[in-house]
Amino acid sequence: MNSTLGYGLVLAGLACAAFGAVVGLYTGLTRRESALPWVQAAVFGFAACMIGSNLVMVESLLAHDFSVKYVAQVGSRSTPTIFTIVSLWSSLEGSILFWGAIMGAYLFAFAFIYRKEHGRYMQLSLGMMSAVACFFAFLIAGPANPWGVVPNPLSDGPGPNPLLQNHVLMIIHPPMLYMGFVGMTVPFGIATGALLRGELSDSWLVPLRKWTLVPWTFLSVGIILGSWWAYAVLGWGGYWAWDPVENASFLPWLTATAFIHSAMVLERKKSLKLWTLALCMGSFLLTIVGTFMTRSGVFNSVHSFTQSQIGPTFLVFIALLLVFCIALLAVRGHLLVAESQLKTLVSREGSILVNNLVFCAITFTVFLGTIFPLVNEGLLNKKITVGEPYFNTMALPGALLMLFLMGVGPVLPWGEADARIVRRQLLIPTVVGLLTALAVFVWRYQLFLGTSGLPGGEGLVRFVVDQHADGVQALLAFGFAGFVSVVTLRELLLPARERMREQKESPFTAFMRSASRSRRRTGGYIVHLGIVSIIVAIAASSSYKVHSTARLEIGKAMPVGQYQVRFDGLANGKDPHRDWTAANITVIGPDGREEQHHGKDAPRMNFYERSTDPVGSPSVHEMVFRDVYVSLLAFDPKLNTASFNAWVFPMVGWIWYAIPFLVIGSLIAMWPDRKKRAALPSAALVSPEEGGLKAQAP
Amino acid sequence: MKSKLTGPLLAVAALAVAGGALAFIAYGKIGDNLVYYWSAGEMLAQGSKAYGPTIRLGGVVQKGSVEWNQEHTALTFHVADGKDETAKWVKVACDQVPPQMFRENIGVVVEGTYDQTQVFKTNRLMVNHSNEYRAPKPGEDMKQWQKTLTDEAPKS
Repeated sequence: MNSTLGYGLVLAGLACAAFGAVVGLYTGLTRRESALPWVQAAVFGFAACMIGSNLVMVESLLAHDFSVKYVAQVGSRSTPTIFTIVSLWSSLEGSILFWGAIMGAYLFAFAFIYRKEHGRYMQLSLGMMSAVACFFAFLIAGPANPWGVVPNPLSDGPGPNPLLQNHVLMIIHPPMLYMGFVGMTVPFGIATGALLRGELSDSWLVPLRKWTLVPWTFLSVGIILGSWWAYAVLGWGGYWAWDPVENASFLPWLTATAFIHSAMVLERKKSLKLWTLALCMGSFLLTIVGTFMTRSGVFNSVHSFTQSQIGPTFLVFIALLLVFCIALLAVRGHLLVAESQLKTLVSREGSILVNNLVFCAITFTVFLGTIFPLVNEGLLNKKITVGEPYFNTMALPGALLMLFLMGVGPVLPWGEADARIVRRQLLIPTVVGLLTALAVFVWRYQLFLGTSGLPGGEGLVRFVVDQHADGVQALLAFGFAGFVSVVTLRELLLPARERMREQKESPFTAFMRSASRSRRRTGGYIVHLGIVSIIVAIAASSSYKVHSTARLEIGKAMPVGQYQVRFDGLANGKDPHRDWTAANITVIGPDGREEQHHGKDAPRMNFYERSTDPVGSPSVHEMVFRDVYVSLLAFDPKLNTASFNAWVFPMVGWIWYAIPFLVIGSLIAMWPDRKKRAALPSAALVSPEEGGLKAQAP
Repeated sequence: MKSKLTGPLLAVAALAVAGGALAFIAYGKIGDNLVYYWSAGEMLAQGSKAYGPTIRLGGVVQKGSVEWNQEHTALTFHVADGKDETAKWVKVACDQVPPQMFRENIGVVVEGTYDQTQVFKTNRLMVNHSNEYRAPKPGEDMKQWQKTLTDEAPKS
């Protein structure tokens, strides 16, 4: 029953998407604008069907209807309700179905918001989005169908993958990433629609930028939450391993970030048109490539990939998209000629251009390292991987350069810069940056003297010699961070200070008013502060971490950095879906303060009913400036001993603390301009020679 | 006209040179950081070529080969190509506490280096989740399915 209903909805969704794609593209290209309501109806139909199908699946999961193939794969009566709902995206078929629902929601939102006011590209854009939706609906209906019928259903199932039941972050992290990935369809649709139509007026640029910011924000948050999950759940003592699955989400983020910046140059200077559109299309392509990487099993082995059914389908789709994008850019090349030339690199647009090149260089090297093992195994049948050091040595200098540019760019004006003004503006930030680096250097040096016991002079020489590339990069990161923070804060607060002086406003009103006058600017700089926090956190937690490992008897302690970890004994416990054994510990700070981590708060091994391997969960003693991270390696109940891996990670939490900055900044930047819209007649939103917006009353 | 063209051409040329240089550096760096996946037999067959690079050695912990000095966390064992006694094996020295699942006859992957001493030194010991999670096929018997999970043999 559920299977039939769910599958029927998928087929109806596929039909709607196909109809929308064919009608939208055909009538758009032949410029029959009267057909738009039909395309909109098709998009609404697709959204309704996909969301409906997902609701039916959630209902089947909750009702434990094991006659549905997907429920038989991931359902279990012992799984808590919340994880039963989450298992919608815990396995391949379900996650693609969920993907369909998000696609539906995005397309609905886009079509609905612009149902009355829109550019002439709308029909073609909706057509393009429907074409992409059609592909995903096809995947759900065919190669990745979750709605198969189990002829003789069992009374219970195995439950979702234990790792996915282990932490609350798993509930929010995948949907965030999916929303980031799927959302890139909308800017792709806008850009290709406008190109197909052959009208590149300003009317498409604002929606294009805003609709890229939406998935960009989700993607950023999703990536951070994913690394947080890896850190808090997996227990290997890290948050990023340059794993292909991680890279798959990082690559489109890089190009989308580059796009957000180059779009400013396009808006201001009417140049970098081809480049900006290529970035927009590239981001979308990379989300599809990323989906392919994470969903086809290709990274377990090239050989398992040929058994997976969705892999080849994806490859065909990627090839089609690539050919389409290149052809479209080639055919419409004459529309993409820059209207102004870049005069000097020492200008805002110049710094953005360099920023874009660095982003692309990082994208290229990460992509190369990610697919290199695949190509090698495919062509030479040799199984290799590319080690983490490759990614670190290639990407970190780029990241540092980016950080530096985040400080230089905002100081430079559009057009040509006056060297004297620029120098004066850079003076204080440079001094602060140098002082920050010096302070960090002294702090590290003090620590080094404390642990090595060398006398001052000799110690300094040894300390300087011992600074590897890692240490230098961390110092640079701190220095640049100080520099960028001053520039950013000044840019954020200066307009407010002017208002305070001229309008005699209170600091709060002045800041709020100046921020609401230039939302993009304010939002952008708030995001920049978040990124600074992330880069500093990465530098500190990777360069300055301390690791130790030991096997402890009850009452004994091991040192890790300036902390002691004492083993207090083993404890057992039981949840509905798992049993666990915890090694109770006490973390003793440098000042002798003790903090107990007992029971569920202690490093644990979880034993799931239907899995033979235990799943560890570490204990993280979080502080503002450092985490003490302890994971349980092994325990022996007979001898009452336990072995631990322990780390001290300085500042690691600042990666997750950046999330509010990213979200709030992006929200400010994309908040719709209500006043402006009300004040101006809708036609004035577009340059007059292009004919303005078409008001289409349904 | 000519001066108008040289600008973009120069930019394209500069980009091409920069891109080429980047590709060259990246390719070289990849070469330096390759991690090879070998079984014991495959690694031994490489001869002296196996000395030096980072290797991920996969296989089975040979029965009766585990020696563990718990005081000094010094662990040695043999990683063999299979469970039968004639299988090729390599001695592994690990300075880490082994994970809970570690035992004889279980599949492991160790990352480290090999040298003339004929001992593979590792600081990263991963137990091969022989039961890489697999959902049961529709209609598959629950007992049978669980048995496939508890099978200790690593997937080849």
